[in-house]
Amino acid sequence: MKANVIVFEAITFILFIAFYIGGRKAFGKSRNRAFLVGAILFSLAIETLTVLIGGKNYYWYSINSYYKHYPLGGYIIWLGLVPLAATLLWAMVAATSYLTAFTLMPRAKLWARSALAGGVAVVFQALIEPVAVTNHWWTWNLKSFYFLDVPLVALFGGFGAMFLFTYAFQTTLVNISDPGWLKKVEDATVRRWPVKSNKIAKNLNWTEQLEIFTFRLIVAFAIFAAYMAPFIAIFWAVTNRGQIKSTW
Amino acid sequence: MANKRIELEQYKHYVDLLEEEPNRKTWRRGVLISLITAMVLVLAMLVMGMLSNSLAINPSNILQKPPAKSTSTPSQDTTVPSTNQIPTNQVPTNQLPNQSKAYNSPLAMSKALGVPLGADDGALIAQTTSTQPTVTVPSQTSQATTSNTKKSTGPGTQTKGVGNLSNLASGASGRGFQISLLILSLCILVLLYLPIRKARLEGKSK
Repeated sequence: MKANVIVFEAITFILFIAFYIGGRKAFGKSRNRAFLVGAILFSLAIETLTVLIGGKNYYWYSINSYYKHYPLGGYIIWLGLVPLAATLLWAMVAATSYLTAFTLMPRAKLWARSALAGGVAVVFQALIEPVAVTNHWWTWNLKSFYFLDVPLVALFGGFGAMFLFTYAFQTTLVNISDPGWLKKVEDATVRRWPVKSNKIAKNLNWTEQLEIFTFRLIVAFAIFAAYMAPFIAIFWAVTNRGQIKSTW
Repeated sequence: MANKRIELEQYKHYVDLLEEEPNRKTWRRGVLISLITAMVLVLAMLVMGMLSNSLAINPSNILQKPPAKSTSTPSQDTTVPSTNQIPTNQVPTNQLPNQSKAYNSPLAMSKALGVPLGADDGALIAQTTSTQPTVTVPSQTSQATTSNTKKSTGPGTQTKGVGNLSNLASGASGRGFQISLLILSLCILVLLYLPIRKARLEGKSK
């Protein structure tokens, strides 16, 4: 038995069902759906950007004869450039990090709980990434400083992504609030269309709250890109592995 | 009453509030299911990591190019000669002579076997050093090394030091990767046990 893509994908799908059942009880039915869909879309955006800039690759192996004996080249379901299993894995890690942080520190400040969630996600990433790159579930191709063949940029990115997602979910769908700086941005954009309401977020109906959540995830994605840019620039200069050549 | 009506009006689009705000017992059960599933995920990763130790030890594995497609047609640049194009008269002459021709005469046979003419069977014969010209093949590895050192400007495509997973994997008599995964998994399992314990204690106290 090998730890190939099919095994990874099957385990991810099976465990995701268990996560869905658990999350439904812990978050509530609709919130759980919002959390998981939000996590999948947020990770999909980040992963797609990473693939587009050439930092990561899922398909080098899957298009080749390496997995020719599997249906559809290894990964069964693709969401564009990223396999569904990778986004589901991120959603599971996000749910675990969120529940761990908010169970361990229920009364701490939101930024502290979000930071703890980010920390838990990084520990998970430190376990998953070496196994993944060893078995070619994906290949990192960043010009970066590497630790055990995992770029440090990815670990910083894992922390930032989880911190921002947890913060956005908590302030929009759990402890609903309107941060001052964000309210101005929302009033000028999403509250004109499609929300068409200037009520505080707490008084919006569920559909409108979901629209606000989507908008806040887009803002979180922009903040994430801004947060990652200096790391990428610094590690571009101080590297111990360059990009793999295009003729690879 | 009016306030209650307004509150209900506000949430008219909001789905069942009992479902959205689960009681603590349901919440605890959800946390337990999710975190125990996360523990299973950790164990699955540990097992898959253990299985892939041999891959981790191989330093070129992570950046190894996938094998070429078996169904691909051969490149047009390489021409395979047909059987009638293969030269038959270019057989190396320093190979063992064909017995049917060379052993017709005793002289030829003695030359071929390296035994003096007239020597009895089993006689001890001083072997002369071979006078055949030896071909020295230039070392390709040394040339490759020099060419690599010339080209090595900037970061290479291979990680070094702590960046290289195979360095860790090769340590501890080839068990470095497995030991590191085991330690990391135990850390995560302890980290996940803490909220589970907290939730269970909360359940027992009520």
